[in-house]
Amino acid sequence: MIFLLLIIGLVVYLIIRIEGTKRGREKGWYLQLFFSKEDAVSQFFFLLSASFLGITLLAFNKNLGNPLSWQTILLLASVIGVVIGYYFKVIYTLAVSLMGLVGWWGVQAAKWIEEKDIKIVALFTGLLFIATIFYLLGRAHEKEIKFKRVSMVYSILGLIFITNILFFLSTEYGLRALQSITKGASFFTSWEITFSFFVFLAFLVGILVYTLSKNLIFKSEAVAVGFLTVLFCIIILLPQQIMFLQQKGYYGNVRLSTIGILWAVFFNILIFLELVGIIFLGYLRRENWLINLGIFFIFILILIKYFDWFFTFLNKSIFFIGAGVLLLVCGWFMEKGRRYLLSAIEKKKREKN
Amino acid sequence: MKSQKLIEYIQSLLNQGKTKEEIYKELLNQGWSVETIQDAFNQITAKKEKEDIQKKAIRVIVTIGAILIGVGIFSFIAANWQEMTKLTKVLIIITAMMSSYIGGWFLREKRYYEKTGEALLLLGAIIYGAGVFLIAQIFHIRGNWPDGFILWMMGTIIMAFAVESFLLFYLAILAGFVAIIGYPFGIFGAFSSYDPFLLTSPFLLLVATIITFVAGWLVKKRMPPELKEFY
Repeated sequence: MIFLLLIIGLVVYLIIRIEGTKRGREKGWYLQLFFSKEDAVSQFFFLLSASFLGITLLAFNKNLGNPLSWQTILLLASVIGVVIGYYFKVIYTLAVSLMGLVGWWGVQAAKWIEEKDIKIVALFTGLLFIATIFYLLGRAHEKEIKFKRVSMVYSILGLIFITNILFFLSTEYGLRALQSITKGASFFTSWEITFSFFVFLAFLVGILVYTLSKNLIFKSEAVAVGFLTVLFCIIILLPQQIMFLQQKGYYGNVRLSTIGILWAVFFNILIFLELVGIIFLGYLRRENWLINLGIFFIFILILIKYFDWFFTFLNKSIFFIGAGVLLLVCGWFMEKGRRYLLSAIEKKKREKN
Repeated sequence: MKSQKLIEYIQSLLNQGKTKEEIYKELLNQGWSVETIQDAFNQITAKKEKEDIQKKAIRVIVTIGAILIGVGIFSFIAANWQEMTKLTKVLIIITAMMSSYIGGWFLREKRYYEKTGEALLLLGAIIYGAGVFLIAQIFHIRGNWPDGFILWMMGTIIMAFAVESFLLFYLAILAGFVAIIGYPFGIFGAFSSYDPFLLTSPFLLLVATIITFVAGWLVKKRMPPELKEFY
């Protein structure tokens, strides 16, 4: 349901973007899907080429008696795709190749987890680390005009990844999943996963420091990223969480444990704050796409929460009233800021004249 | 009358490649008011939009026409397919394709019917694609069906470069994506007994990789100069 709505939303968003495609360097030019028909055609050909490369490697591999695993071929094709994406600044190839790389790590991690019966939460957390790295890479790439669209790819992928996983964890299914995926051996039993986390963390801290030193992100944004990183580190180290007191399999008889209630409240507040944060960030950076993305996600969140059983015990009306008040206050602050900005611009104009 | 002259003058400056800001400066220096210049620009934009809509309408009509002719020809062939000899079938396919290509090229290049000419070129490329599958069927060539789409894509790319038609590039891209989606990748094949590469030559796939890469690179080189700063 969540994914279906997200896909529909993204398609609508893309159609609006295609309609708005214009040439030249205007405000928000980097959001254009294509700059020109030449750009569109070349982008698709490069994407086709990268995809054919993957299939070609698979076919040769098959003919040679499978000397390589399909995961290795996925890695190879994705790395080449990323190189093509960077060299030619073709964002579709880059986006698909990055997803290929994430997919490769996910499959490998699943294999390592299965081998040593490690907590599956390690996989989740790894993906969250990657998403955060993507987001920071997006910010790091923003400085140069040539990489502005590349930065959009990273930022959008990162934001969608993180929001989706937090969305999931804030629902009943997410809590159930968290209960089962925190069961198992520690990730330290696998050197591959431990090494992966070490690399992710080192990378994440490195880019965070870099973006902060170059003033590419706000301090509040850096604090939020730091908070999420610490949260992911805590989640990965958690012992098994018993979220439910009874599990009869149907909604009526399912009751959350005290820890379950704490996590449910925590994740629901977190996702809400994250989305308001996206809108606020868009407002601070004067980026309409961030505001629209945040509003779109909030709309989906409200829609899903309305049907989510979890709020029957919290009382739906309280949630909606709370969310409404919060949004009104945010809106009021934004309008106030806008008025202040407009009056400052007017003042400047008058001074010039 | 005066405003008509102004519009024509602005149009000539635009054709010379001058920016809106430069034109504004020049006209303001000549004593024109901002409102009059703005009004003239609005009229030019409105006229251009009207022309664009008309061009779009013609393009849509002739493209649909080309597709309908293609469908009509093939339904006729399908209805009489069994009674034809192999040679007749091949001749029909080649004649239909060649006449569409030649007609399209002639109309576009010699008679300057750009939209209709392009539509006929598109029809030629569609007939070529259908021809690939029909010839495979006539001569009982064993192969994976996505291979047909790869051949269609490759032929259309070459034709698109030859006649410089973006409509053909779009068709080639579409055929390429159908081919890619059509291949049940090895990763899925591994879970079943079906081998997705049993009948496909890896060399065909390699050629497709190279051709699409080169096509992307060549088209990219044609990017308008004002967009170079983004790359």
